Amino acid sequence: MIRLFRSELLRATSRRLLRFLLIAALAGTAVAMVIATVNSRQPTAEDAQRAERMYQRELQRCLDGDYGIPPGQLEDMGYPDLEAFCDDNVRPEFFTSVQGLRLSGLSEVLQGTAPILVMLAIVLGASLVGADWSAGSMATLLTWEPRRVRVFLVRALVVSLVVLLAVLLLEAAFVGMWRLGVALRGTADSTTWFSDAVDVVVRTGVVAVIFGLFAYAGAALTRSTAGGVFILLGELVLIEGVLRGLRPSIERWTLIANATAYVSDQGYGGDGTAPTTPTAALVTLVVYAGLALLVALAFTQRRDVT
Amino acid sequence: MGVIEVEGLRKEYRRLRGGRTLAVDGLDLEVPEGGVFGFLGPNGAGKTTTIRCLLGLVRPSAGRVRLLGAEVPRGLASVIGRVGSIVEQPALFPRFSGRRNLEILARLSGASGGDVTRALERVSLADRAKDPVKTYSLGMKQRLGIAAALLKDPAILVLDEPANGLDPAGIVEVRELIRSLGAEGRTVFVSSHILTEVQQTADRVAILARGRSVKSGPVAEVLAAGGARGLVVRVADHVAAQRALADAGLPVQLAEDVGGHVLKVEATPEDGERITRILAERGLYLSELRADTVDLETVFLELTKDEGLGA
Repeated sequence: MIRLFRSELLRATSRRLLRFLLIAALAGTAVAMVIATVNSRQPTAEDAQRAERMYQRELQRCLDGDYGIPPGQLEDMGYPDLEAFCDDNVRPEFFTSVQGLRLSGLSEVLQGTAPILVMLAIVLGASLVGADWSAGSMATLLTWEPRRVRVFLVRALVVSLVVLLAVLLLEAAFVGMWRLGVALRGTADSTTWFSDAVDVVVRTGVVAVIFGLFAYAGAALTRSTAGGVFILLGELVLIEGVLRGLRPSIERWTLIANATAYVSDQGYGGDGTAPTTPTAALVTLVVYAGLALLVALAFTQRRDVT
Repeated sequence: MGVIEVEGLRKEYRRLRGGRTLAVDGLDLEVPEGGVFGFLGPNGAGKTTTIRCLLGLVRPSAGRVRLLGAEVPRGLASVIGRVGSIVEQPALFPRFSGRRNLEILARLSGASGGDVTRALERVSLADRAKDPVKTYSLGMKQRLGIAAALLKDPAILVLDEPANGLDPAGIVEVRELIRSLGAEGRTVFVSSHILTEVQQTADRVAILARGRSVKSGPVAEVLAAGGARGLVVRVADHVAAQRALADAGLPVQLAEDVGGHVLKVEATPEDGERITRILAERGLYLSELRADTVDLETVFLELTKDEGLGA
């Protein structure tokens, strides 16, 4: 099992596509951050004073009860009292009018870039198995390790690991560049920025792995990279799009809604649909991925390699 | 007990639009340990399907397959480490170097970097080891595939049409390699539809037609099944010679070959002296006297005539 894992890991990391995607993503990130840094400027003392005044005024409004939230509802929202609610929802960074890089905005931007990383995971997940079928080397592999269940599971593990490491590498580079940009021409307006960013990075990594596994299962079913990618994109764009249009209440069960709910850590619930927590969203995604892998495994186990 | 045993193997493929294609139809086969075993048959005879069944890539519809005593596919994992194989073309990653392809496989078997180097040297690819496989010729890819199979230090080597697409020099290289592997005591199971090629390398053969074995055994025995051929006699006046030999009680037939008319005499090589004397006594002097040998191709065509595959 260890030998198979080491062999598969070497194969996966030797792939040109992996290096190409990583280099392209890093280069794109670097270019974007240079542009953002050039267009950013640090706030003046006057900007800071104005922002502080606006913050204090808004905080006072909140504490005075001007937001009109009934006391009983605060507890339902997870706040022990009005002060905790105001601390969380009225923050100094909301009043910084200066355009540019802010530490407090990092986690929000990371959430915004999550779909790009998920797309990368889909391509990697599909390609790591699809390439073997197009090269015909799956037959070669099975003449070295004929236990197909073992091969399938080890490959799923390798896909998960490669996707997770790729996402962590890219996110770490992004966070580092953002921090550098802030240091040069931005606003260091948050003390919790690092833990907030790590939280989003980990959540994005988990969702990317899940989508990478979906693509892997699709590629194993169709025995092609394109098949794996198109099955998943077809599901996300066509099936989920159509289903949501026909029955909005089903949105709670879609991959996109659950992935968004988990990455944003906001849960989901609106339009009269059943609310869900980030944890429930994750469980839903894991169950879907598990089912997809089971179907693909059964198919892999039974079908002839011709 | 053979190292490869096949009993009543049957494989049907379902077509997408319904119906079935019978690829192997009740095949029985036993391959003894050591030497080169030729698995012959025309395209579509079921050779590759049989090999895929041997290696667990395809599930038989019926029958049993045993490899080194292990049932396939259930017990295959326990013996696969001693079975090297190439099915059709060696399927390797074209963008990876030859060495990287072997390193990936070496990790599966626990082979070392030194083993990879030795395997590449064995097939004369050490100089091109760092080049991408997509730049290799077909012959080099075949040799790389054999190098990959050798990484396991296999007891059985299964090669599916190893001479396919090779130029004459490549064919000779692969032939020599197969011979040397067989001489080392390994069992080399070679499928081919190029019968003359197999005749030069194999110790034993099985001839497959329409998914069934029509003849198997040592090459000499299979050739003998082509019939006793006697002697070929070439003489300028073949009509007079035919009469003279017939008068002497020798069964003789007039035939043609590339050099013109010849006489085919049902006789043993020891009768050559007598034939020479009979003809000389009539003032007929022969220009050629040789044994009428057969090749596998001839035997194959005769054996498969009834199957509708012969010439």
